[in-house]
Amino acid sequence: VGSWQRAERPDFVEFVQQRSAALFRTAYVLTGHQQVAEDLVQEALEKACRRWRRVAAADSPEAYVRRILVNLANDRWRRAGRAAERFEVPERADPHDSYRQVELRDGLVRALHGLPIGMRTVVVLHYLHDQGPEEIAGTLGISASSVRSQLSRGVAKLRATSTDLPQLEGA
Amino acid sequence: MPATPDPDFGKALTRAMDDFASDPQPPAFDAPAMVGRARRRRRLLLGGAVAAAVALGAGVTIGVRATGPGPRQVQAATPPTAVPASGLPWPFPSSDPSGSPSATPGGSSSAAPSGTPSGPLAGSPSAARKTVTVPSVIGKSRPEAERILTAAGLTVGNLVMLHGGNLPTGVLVGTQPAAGMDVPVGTPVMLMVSEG
Repeated sequence: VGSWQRAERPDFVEFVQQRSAALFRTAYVLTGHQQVAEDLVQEALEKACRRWRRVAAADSPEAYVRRILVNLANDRWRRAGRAAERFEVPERADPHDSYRQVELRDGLVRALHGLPIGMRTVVVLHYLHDQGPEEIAGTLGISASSVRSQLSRGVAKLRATSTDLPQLEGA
Repeated sequence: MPATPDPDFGKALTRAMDDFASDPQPPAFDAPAMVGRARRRRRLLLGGAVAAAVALGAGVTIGVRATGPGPRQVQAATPPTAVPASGLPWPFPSSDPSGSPSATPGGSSSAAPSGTPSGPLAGSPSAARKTVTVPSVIGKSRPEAERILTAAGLTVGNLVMLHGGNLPTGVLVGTQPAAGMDVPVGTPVMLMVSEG
């Protein structure tokens, strides 16, 4: 998950080729739902395409589009209301994982998707994208202290859910 | 970095997400199609602007016949706000947000800025001759709309039936020129009526 650095202004088509998979990963972790993630990325890319000049001039076009993406997700969730807050995490058995690891992972992921969208976004940006509170605050248009508190509350919730899971250290 | 209560837990979380993210095959996104759509959209907006200018131009030409010289200033008065409203699919032209406009009946020849509070278009310096602002008749019945338009000094032009949307049948969903436009007195206004 490296950031995308380039000297020249990137071409939109090229950008999509190179970065859409990473954006999709973010969207998928955030929503837990493949189709929803795909729609979100599609919409974010369409938006980015319409203002590509501005996006391409950004320090990191990928971060710019990711910002569009997570804000779209947040808007959509809030609009849909709490009823749609929770997407079911589909059952899956990954042959590459040991049973226990899958269980732990799915437990965490399920707990993650049980968090409110704002808190979830903060957790994802921090743990998946290694972003600090200031950066997250800038992305979501909230204060850094709010990011900090949501992050610690989010992690506490996830932790609480995972206490009943088989040993954490093994993962 | 924020206070991570437990770095191990953080790592497990990161790994869980990362791992989860690798489950599905990322879909392919059709970037060239997006570029095409963005381009078409731009063209459509531009086309809307041109269409508005043309429509206004047509109105002006007729207006010239009816009222004499002085069309050029009017054309310059095309309000930028009117542009998106005249985009193609016509999902209810968004004329002015003020709802019902009080059509100021009785000629209202010289004083154009009567019906709508839209600022910039009232301006065009020397256009103080016979123009009127198209009143908003959206949501009105057809006879009422015709009455309001004629009272404002305009004439009733073509009728276009549109369907779709959530407006009740038979009401006005838009006009061309759109509400808020300054046009010469006597300009025919096309009515767009919902047919459910």
